Parts: sequence; C-alpha cells; structure tokens
Amino acid sequence: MRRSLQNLRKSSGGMTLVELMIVVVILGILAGIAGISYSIYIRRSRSQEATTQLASIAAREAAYRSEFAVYCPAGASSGSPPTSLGTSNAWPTTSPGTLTEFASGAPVEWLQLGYRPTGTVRYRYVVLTGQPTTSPPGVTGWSTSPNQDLWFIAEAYGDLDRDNTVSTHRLFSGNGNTLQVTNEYE
Amino acid sequence: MSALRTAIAVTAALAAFGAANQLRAAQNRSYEGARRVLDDAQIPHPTVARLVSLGHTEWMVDVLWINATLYYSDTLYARLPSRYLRSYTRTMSELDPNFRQSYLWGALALVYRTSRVETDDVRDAVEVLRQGIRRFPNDPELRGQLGLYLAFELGPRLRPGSAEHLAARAQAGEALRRACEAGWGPSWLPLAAASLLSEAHREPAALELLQGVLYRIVEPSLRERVESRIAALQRAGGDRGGITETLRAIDSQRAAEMPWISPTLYVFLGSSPLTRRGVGLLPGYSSARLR
Repeated sequence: MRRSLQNLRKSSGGMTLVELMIVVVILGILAGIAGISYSIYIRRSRSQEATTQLASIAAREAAYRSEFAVYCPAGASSGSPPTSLGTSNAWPTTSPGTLTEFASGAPVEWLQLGYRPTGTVRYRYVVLTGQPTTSPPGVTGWSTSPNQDLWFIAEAYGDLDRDNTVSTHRLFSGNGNTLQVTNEYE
Repeated sequence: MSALRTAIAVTAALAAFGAANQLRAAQNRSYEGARRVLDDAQIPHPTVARLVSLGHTEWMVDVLWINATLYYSDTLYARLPSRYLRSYTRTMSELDPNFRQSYLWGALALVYRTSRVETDDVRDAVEVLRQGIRRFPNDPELRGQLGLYLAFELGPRLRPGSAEHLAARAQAGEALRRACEAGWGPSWLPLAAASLLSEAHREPAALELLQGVLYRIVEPSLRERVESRIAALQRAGGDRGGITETLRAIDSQRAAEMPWISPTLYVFLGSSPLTRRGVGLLPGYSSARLR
C-alpha cells in the first residue's frame, strides 16, 4: 500500500523548472521559425503586385498607342515626363516598400494613360518612352535591331523586406512581355 | 611525424568538404528534376482534386489560390513552363467556376512572365478569359481584358491579314465596346474600340458607342477628339436619325439651364422632351423605362 502511494506521488510530481524552461525554449524556437516563414510567405504574395500592375500598364500603353500613335510616359511629377529610370523618377514618391495611396495626387500623365489603381501600393512605378532611333536604357543592340520601333520601359521598384536592396521588375515593349526581375524577388 | 599527420588530416578534411559539396550539388540537381513530379502532384487534375476535397471544393480552391499566390513570383512565372499555369487555372476554375479572380489571374500569369511567352500561351490566356465571360457575361473587366489581350497581345503575334488576325481584332472591338459601355477602362478607350469596330466594317456600332460615351467625357481635348471621330463616322454614313445633333442640342440646353451639373446628370434631371430623347440614346436606358 505504502509502495503504491509512493509510486503515485512520484508520477504526479510535476516538472522541474529546467524541464519547463526547455519546453519554453523549444516552443520559442518553433514560433520564431514559423514567424520567419510566415513573413517570407507574406512578402512573396505581396510581390505579385509588381507584375499585376506592370501588366496593366503595358496593356494600357498598347491601347494608348493604337489611338494616339505614341506611348504615354509617366513618372513622379506632372507636366515633366521622366527622362530616366530609377526610384527618384517613380510614383509614388515615398520610399519603396511603404504602403502609399497611388491615386492621391498622382501626376496627370498616369490619369492620361488611364492607369489608376485603387487603394494602396507597395511598389513604385515609372514609364519611360522613346522614339525608334533613341536607345532604351539597359537594352543592347537596339540601334541595329530590325525591330526598332517606338518603345516604352515600365519599371516597378520594391523593398518589401526593408533591407535597402531595391528589387526591380521591368517590362520592355521591344521584348514581348518578358519580365526581368533584378536583385531579388523579395 | 606530427607535421605529416596534420597534413593528412587537413587533406582528408578538404577531400571530405569537396565530396560533401559534390554530393550536395548532385542532390540539388536531382531535386530540381523531381520538382516536376512534385509540382504535378501539387496541382492535381480537377477530378482528383474534387475527390480529395470530399465535397469542399471551394476550400480546395482557396488552398490552390494561396499556393499560386505564394509561389507565383519566384517559381511559377520564373522557372516553370506555362503548362503548370494552365493546370492551376483549369483546376481552380473547374472546381469553383464562381471564383472570378482565377480567370483574370490565369490570363495574366500566362502572358506576363519571366520566361519566353509563346503565341499559344496568349491563345490560352484568351480562352481563359472567354471561359470567365461565359460564367460572368456582364463583367466589364473580363470583357475589357479580353479585348485588350485579343487586340494588343494576340493580334501582333499573328500574321497581319490572316483570318485569325482579322477575327481577333473584330472580337476585340466587340469586347471593348461592351466593356466601355459599362464604364470600364480609361476615358479614351472607346476611341480605340471604335477604331477596331470600324476596321471590322462595323461603323454604325462604332458611332453608337462614341455617341453613348460622349456624355461621360469631361476633358475638353478628348471630347473634341471624340466629336471629330463621330463626325467622320457620320460622313462615312453611319449616323442614324441625327443622334449627334440631338446630343449636341441637349448639351447646349444644359449649358444654358444648368451649367453647374455634369452632362450625364443633366440627361437624367432635365425634363424637356429633348432631354428625354437623350436618355433613350444612352446604352441600356430608354425613356419608357424611366417614366
């Protein structure tokens, strides 16, 4: 009888502080891993914005050209079309990665193009256009290309993970719809 | 002796490191090779997916959608062939035909990718949008996207003047016409739609479209452009019953009576017989319906 009581006391003795600490540490590690994975997943899904919006811009540029015989440049400021690419020429003007309303105060060229995404965006956008004889930045062999034509380059800049490395999604009219992504996928 | 041992140990360590590295590279290659099988397994055939979902097909589509969204950027359009995108879209749309986003996403993902886009990919994208329109016949965005894809994505890839090219441009005009009438797209899009309709020898439809949207356009230069196109179409013999004259008269009347309201609002608020006639000219409305 005494032995069975001793066994019972021994088995229901609970856990030591060290055991509890080990459990807490393991749970913490698991939660940390899950948190990191979750944030990576969220970033990945958010990076879809760049492709979707560039596709929308490209479709409108093609339709715009069919009617007005030129592509419509659009960037950071009204009345002065961008002369080069880069985040400083892109709209919205806040730093890439921050959530910003696109339509609020957007330069008139974006409205002229008919591109006005509702709500907020995380990427920054710019459209540079040019005549057939001018060289698109970052494109080699254009001057000798038999496909020389009016061109546009639409770029989206993002820094979703806030590591100060800006990723660039690029769509060039002379290259079909092939997207180029540089730096990282976020 | 000690130096010899150290040298042997270092050599052995380097050899082990090199071997491990080779093994890792081989493993990575075999994993990449196996990915196809894995991805095929992840995107099951609709029939299989329906069985696996135990009747909860919408939940299954949610899972597929989350998967597609997560891996869209760095996997699906980056490395995998377009057949995976077709599989995703087909499975999602067959399991849950009311999931409208799958049609728009499927078409976009097939056409805008980091790998080379073939003409068949664009044809597939068009078919995905047509499938969406069959399900949502009154959705202006699906129709507008279909028009843009047909005219500006598929059209330039086809031989100019071929039967398919002409059909694509004609269908694009019709799709854009219906989208524009529903108010979708930029304010100048009706002009592009009218050009496509005229190209397909459907001048009366082009004229009707431009007359219908004229009242929505507020930018003076664009309005002038639309009016001039209307005049050109009328000269070509497309006007029926002096519709443009009526619209112009209504606008003059608005400018005299209520210059502070928009032309569209005036058509509805105005009470004169002339205005009632104008309402009848707007697509989708008739004077009789409003009485």
